[in-house]
Amino acid sequence: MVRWIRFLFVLWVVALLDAGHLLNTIAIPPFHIKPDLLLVFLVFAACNLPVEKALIVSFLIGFTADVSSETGLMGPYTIAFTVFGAIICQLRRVVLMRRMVYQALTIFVLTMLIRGSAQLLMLLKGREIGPNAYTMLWGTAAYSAVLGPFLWIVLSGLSGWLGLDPESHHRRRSVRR
Amino acid sequence: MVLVLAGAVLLLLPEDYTQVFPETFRRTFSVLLNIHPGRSEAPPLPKAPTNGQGVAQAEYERLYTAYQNTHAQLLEIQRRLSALQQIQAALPVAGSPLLLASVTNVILSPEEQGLLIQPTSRIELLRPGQYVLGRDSVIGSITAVYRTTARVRLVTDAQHRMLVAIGRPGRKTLIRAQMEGVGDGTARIVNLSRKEHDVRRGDTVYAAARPGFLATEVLVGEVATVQADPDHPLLWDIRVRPICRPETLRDVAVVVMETPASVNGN
Repeated sequence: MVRWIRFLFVLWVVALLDAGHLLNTIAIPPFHIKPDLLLVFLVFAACNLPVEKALIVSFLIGFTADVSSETGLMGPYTIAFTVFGAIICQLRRVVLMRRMVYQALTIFVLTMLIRGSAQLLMLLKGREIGPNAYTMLWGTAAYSAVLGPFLWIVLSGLSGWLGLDPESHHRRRSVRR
Repeated sequence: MVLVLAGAVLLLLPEDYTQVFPETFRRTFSVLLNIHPGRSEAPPLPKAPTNGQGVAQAEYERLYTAYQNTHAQLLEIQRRLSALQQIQAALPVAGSPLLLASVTNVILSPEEQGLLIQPTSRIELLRPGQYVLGRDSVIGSITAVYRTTARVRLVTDAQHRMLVAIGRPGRKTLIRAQMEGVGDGTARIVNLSRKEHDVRRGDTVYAAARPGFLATEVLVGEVATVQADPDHPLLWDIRVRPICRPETLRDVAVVVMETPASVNGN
């Protein structure tokens, strides 16, 4: 329970960073491209949690992404994050996420896929897509991929505290047995 | 599967119901969200005279805006006086009501430049297309109205289009043109012939009067740069800098005019 509260607190902080103006200091002009911190958080959490928990966490992160999104539309990120959270759970059996290159590549591909699908869902809901949407998509994916592995190190340091450490789950399971 | 379905339900529900989540988030954490590590560079505003007898800069800016609006109204009235037959029909509705609204969120990204506003009362009077004033100058127009809030698209948003009039002190006519946002805090005026229209840096740009929405011209900003359009050398490429900085706004006013139909009692 305490770990869930910690996790929700960190999620809230990441959402505030994503939605607020604080990240503008590292935004890349002229398109004002910023990394997608929630997405990096999703990839990290989905790679380190058991499948059931990973799905719940993916849903929570997606819901938070919708709530903090500038579009004010609920649903697109919740769906995209949950679906791709499940896919990451399968992917981690194939790709070992210990090398920074793999982490960066995974974050890049998933940012493209998740944000791309969310934008498609927004189009279905009748929302307009900005004129620089594709540049923003590529830019955000690239920036998140570059910054992601370093955030990964920070999150790895916090993983035990957050309950995102895979070893702690295995340990708890073996203790129960 | 259940979680994906929950997401689909969120997506399919009317926005009026789901809007409460982002609204509450923005309203509750507005202080944290609006922390600016380094505010963007403010557009240069006219400077108060420094001869020792001037007024404070803030007061000067307020008076400058009021002066420009009055000047635009004067030009409009002169034009109408010359068309006596149309005066009765064309006069603006006296005392067009303004609806005060609080700014709950400011969005300034290349994808979207807008505001989320919450009227103090009578949100049912709001509808898309209505002009929004910030400190007596037009800053944008309403694009969507929800149950308790409304979305404003700023004149600098890349998808914003509006008719404007360009004026200059001493010139008795206004140049009509189309203005579109750029997405970087400025707007541009397009399709204006260089041969037919004399436009210079510093000229004043007004939102053009529009029946049912705006009774008379109201200040938007001033011409920041004028150059030949590189793609169409016969046309101007004019950049407009809005006079009002949206990130500093706490309240805005929506022009809630009666439609011509309702004025006639239909």
